[in-house]
Formats: sequence, C-alpha cells, structure tokens
Amino acid sequence: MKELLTIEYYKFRKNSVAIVLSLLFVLFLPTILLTVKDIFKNVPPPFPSSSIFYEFPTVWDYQGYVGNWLVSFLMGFMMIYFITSEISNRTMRQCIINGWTRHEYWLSKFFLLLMLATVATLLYTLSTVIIGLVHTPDPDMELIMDSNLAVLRFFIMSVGYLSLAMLLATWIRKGTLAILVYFAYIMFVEQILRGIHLYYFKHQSVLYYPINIIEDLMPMPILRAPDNWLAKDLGFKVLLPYWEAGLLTLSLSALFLWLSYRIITKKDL
Amino acid sequence: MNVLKIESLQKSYGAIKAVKSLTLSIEQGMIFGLLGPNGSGKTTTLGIILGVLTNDAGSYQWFEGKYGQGHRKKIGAILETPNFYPYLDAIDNLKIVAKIKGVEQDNFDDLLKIVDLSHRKHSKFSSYSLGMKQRLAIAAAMIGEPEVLIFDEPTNGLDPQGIAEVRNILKEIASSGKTVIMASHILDEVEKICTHVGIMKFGNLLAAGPVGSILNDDLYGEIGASDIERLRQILIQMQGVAITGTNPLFLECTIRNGLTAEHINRHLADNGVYANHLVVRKQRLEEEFLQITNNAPQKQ
Repeated sequence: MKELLTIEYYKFRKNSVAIVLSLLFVLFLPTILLTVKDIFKNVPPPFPSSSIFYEFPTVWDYQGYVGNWLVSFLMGFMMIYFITSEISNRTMRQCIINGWTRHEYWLSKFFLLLMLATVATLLYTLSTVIIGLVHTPDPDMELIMDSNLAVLRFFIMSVGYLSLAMLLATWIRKGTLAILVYFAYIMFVEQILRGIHLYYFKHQSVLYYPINIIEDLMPMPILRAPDNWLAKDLGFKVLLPYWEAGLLTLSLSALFLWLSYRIITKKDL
Repeated sequence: MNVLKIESLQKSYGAIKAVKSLTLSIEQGMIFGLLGPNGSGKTTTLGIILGVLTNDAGSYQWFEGKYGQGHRKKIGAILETPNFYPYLDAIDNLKIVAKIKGVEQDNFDDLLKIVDLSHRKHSKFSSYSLGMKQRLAIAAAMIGEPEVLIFDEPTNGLDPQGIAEVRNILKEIASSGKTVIMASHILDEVEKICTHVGIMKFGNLLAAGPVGSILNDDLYGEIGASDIERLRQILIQMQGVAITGTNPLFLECTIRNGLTAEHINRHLADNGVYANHLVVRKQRLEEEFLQITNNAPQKQ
C-alpha cells in the first residue's frame, strides 16, 4: 500500500490542478463557516442565535455540511482528474506496460481514494475542533464528543462521493465529460428524478437515491427541525437515520468500486 | 531460453479481425522484426502481449512463466507513442518508471546521456520535441536492465535527424545481446538491425524465420540502355531474367539460374545493345516483403 501510494504521490505532487484543488479545499473548509458568521450576525427563528453554527456540539453538523459540499465538488473533481488525466495522457496503459498488473493499478487508485477521504476527514476534524473550541464558552469533553460519530460519518460520506467519481471516471474515460456527468448528477439529475418520483409516488423509496443517501450522512442541519412536520405531511421522514445512511453508503461504495474494478481489469486500455 | 511463446492468438474489434490465430515463438538473444503494412495487426499483437489489450482467444507466455504476473517488470517497451506525465521533467518521469518496476535506480543521468537528453533533463516532458520524447521513451525502456525490449514503430513521425539518432541507439541496444522485438513497416530499418523477422498482413503471420531464410536466392537487377524498348525485347528472350518493373531510365528484373552481371552484359553486347546502367544485387527485404504480402490472402 505504501509503495503504491508513494508512486501516486510522485505522479501528482507537481500537478498544478491537484495543487490548486488541494489548496482550495484547505482554504475553504475553515473559512466558509467563519464567513457565514460575519454575514449572518442576526439569524431569524427558529435559530436561537448564529452561535449554534460554531459552538459544540452543533458545529460538527454545520462544518460537516460545508465539508459535504467541498468533498463532493473539489475532492470529486480531483478524483476524476486523477483517473481521466492518466487515461488521456496514456500513462495508465504505460503503468501496465511498465509492469503493474491491472489489479495493482486499480489498487493504487483505491488507496488514493482512501487517502483523499482520510485527509478530508482529518482536516474536517481539525477545523471543527478549532472553530468549536474558539467559540464555545465552556467546552468540556462531553460536549465536544457529542457528535453522533460525525468523524466516521464524514469519512464514509467522502468514500461514497469519491467512489462514484472513480466509477464515472473509469467508465466515461474522458475528463470533461466525466466531470460534467458527475456534477450534473449530484446537482440536478437526481433532484429531478426524485421530484418526478415524489410527484407520482409519495413513498419513502424516494430517499434511496445514491446522492441522497450519501448526503444524509452530513445533511443540511436545519432540515432536522422541519423534518418532524414534513414527516406528518409526507408520511415519512425526509432524512435517513445515520446508521442506515452509513450502511447504504458503504454498500453503494462497494458496488461503485467493484464496477470500476471490472472496467479497469476487463477493458482494453 | 524461450522468451515469448504465442499460441493461436486472436483479437477482433467488432467485425474486424485484427489478429487471426497467431502462433509465434521468440528465443533469447533474437532481434525480432515484426513487419507488416499499417493495419496488419502488429500493434494489436504487441498490445496483447504487453497486457493493455485483451485477447479473444489463444494464449501467450513470457519467460516460460518464470516471473509469473510480474513478467512485464523484466520488459522495457514503447507501444505506439511515448507516454509520460507532461508536467514532470525527464528525471521525475524516469523515477516513476523505476518505482513501478521496483528497481532502485540512480543512474538516470547515464541513461539520459545515452539518448542525448542530459541537457534537457530538468525540462518538462510537454516541452520536448517528438524526437526527444521518443528518446526519453527509449531511456525509460532500458530502466532496470530488462531482459527484453519492445519497440513499436520506433522512428514513426521523426524527422531525418531523429530517425538517424533513434536508429543508432537501437543498433547499440541490438548489439548488446538483449532480446529485442521491433514492429515496423520500414523494411530498411528491420533489415539493418534484425536477425529474425515475421511478416504480418490482415492479422495473419505470413512468414517467420531468420532474415536470411526469408530472403531467397534470386537477385535483383536494374538494367538501362539508350533504347529501352530494344533492351526489353532482348531481355524478354533471355532465360533466367524476368522483367518486374519499368523505370524511365532502366528496367527492374529478377535474375535467376546463377546469372551474373557479366552474363547479362555479354548477352546485351552480343545483341548490339550496350548497357549504360547495370546493377545486380541480392534481393532486399523490401522486395521480398512485397512479394509475400502481395501473394497473401485478402482481408476478411
């Protein structure tokens, strides 16, 4: 694993796209929430005050929601770029010619995916702890740790997005098209499909779309409040329980990764 | 040792059969030239044995199975185009190749010297000319002292100077005793470098063996005279000479039955015609290649 990751590091350490996207992630993750703090000094009801954005334990959810967007956009973009740039530069086939098996090639990208998810989760944890400690009047361990396993949820969510990105990149092969399909799906296509689904079948099954499942690990926190009255109207809750979203995301990730493995090991390069 | 054994290899792209039941064996130390016109299946064959294309049927085995799945780490290969990370320089790119091959190599400078790229070792790959890219690919192929080197159309797209440079490097590699497999449609290149050849067309292997055995004993002749029509009439009647082509200044012939330039010259003089151009030499691979490929079955 270490050897494969070292090679991936050598491949991309001087790549300007990777450097810019990484810097944007590192820069945006802590600053977006702090920028919101300055913009929304007075928040309307039902929020008691804007301090819930930055104080323990709710900071885990708000910072997690910011991270949700950043991972899906920046890390997803990066994952697609890492794979499709190797296809367009034909360095993927050269790696095979130089001696890797296709299995090793897939493993190198899978380890890269895990590394990105781990780094994103570490940065999320670090930024959340720092923001929370600075803004919480009397932080104690019990308050800090009251996160509903937010770190684990964030990691699983990251793996989910990146697995989808890896599948689309290996399947579509062309970088621009893969990125377009990825963003279109997470931003519009699934929303439209779910809208049509809900219009014809007001049923809980509308929750079980891939991006909705992954998003529900780190949902928009304010959805929690109206979820109860929405549930009365719809007949089901709009947010999946964390344990269910977690298990389903892991299952989906396994499916996406298995499909990407099949493509890499079976297709002509 | 048997370096590569290919048995009944087949590959199709939809309805097009790119390789049809190819069987071939390459021994250690051979400089094997895989010849064929564009689209004959050379690159597809190399793509399959290098693991980037999947075969529909048949099998191949490297090094009698000695290295298992890691056999490609013992092979240095350029397939079609030089493929490197465009934003990295020569040294960084070579480091990645060495890491993939699992070799501890620190003589990148020596390798770059061989291919005359030392002065550009810190330039990004994207800034290289095609000739420089090809030379870097040759340097990369030599990393880790591979037992076999594979070059697919190594001088394709190069200018005359680039062709000469790459050809000289290939000659040096060929003389080092390594097994080399080289696909080309430039026959002169193969004839000058290779010990063995295989000739492909429409996915079939038409002939294979030592270069000497592929070339037959017939001679090639060019005979010119001021009156080409009179010359033609005399040569048509001469036994052992067959006219194969016409040039404004001379006639091209195949010469058999042990006839020499002296025999032809004397015969012409006896018939009152004096040659102003007379060349008799052994057949070149090019002539042989055209003869073999023209007699090949048509595309299916």
